[in-house]
Amino acid sequence: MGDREIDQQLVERAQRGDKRAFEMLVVKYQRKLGRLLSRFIRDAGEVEDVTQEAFIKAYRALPSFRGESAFYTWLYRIGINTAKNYLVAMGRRAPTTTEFDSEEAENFDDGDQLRDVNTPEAELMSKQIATTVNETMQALPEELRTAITLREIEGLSYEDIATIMNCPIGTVRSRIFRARETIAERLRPLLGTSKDKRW
Amino acid sequence: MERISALMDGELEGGDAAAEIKRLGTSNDHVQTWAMYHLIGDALRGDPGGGVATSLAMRERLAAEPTILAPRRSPLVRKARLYALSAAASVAGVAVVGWLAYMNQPGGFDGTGPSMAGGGAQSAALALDESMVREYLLAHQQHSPSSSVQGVATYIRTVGMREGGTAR
Repeated sequence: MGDREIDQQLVERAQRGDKRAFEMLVVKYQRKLGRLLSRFIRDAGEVEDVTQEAFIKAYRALPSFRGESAFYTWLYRIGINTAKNYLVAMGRRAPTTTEFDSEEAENFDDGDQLRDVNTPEAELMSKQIATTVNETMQALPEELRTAITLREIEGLSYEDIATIMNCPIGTVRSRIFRARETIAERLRPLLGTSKDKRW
Repeated sequence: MERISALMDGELEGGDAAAEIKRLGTSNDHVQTWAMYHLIGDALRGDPGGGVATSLAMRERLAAEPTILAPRRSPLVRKARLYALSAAASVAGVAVVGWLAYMNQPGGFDGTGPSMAGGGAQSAALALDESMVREYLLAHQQHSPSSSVQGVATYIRTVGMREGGTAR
């Protein structure tokens, strides 16, 4: 099942009253949407507020989402409108429609050209997370490191990774999972979470 | 948890994925794992941490929102709509073909053909036209591809009768 189908299933569950399903969509897209909006709103705190507002508006508008476009495309438009309204309300110039090209929504990739949207506290947290992830990656067995790198950074499918690593798809799936779990174990204390604590 | 990992990579098949999504909705631990794995992915791609604060704030704001209960779209209704559209397209197609066929008939809607209830003068004109057409067809029969004696048609002399008894 592809990304779009997974999102559609989550939307349908949220439309039937499952708030956790919507939370999963928030988790999945919050950084992507936040970084997009940061192109037009400079202040990191404001970006955070507008991102949250966009998600709340999307949640309230869920009954009208018919799945004719991808969920993220729809969310992106809501984010754009929320940002425009915010800038107008603040007496600042709202971006034109050409600046917000909706086709970017599907293809947008977080890149170096984008500003960091973190507040100072979040900035510190980001650095700690990055350090922990990098250190754990270096300590991972070679086969786990290669598998998760090919998946998360190169974006390859399990089938392609299996071909490259010359192993069964099931082994790829297991290696990626073990790599994620090893990194997650190192991150949990940092984030103040444990398996029985919420965040 | 391995299934959550595969789900977020889009590597679970339809039925398994649907079951896993359903299972995720039953436990905060699973949602937390989903969030953690996404955080790791973002960190590996050079964007760590930014969403943790949003997650916490969003959870509180979402909790304050009334639960959405949108009317479910029945697959039967969707199917019925699809069939109705197909039927309408078929009827439209048949209507167009019928209309074109009707237009090409002598006496079709364009009014150029003879009328069944036409007067004597019109019938006479028609008879004259037919005799000319017959003559023309006889004269050109050798060029017709419909001859059953293919290849020799050009060597066959065509004989026709004219009013008055002279052969041609």
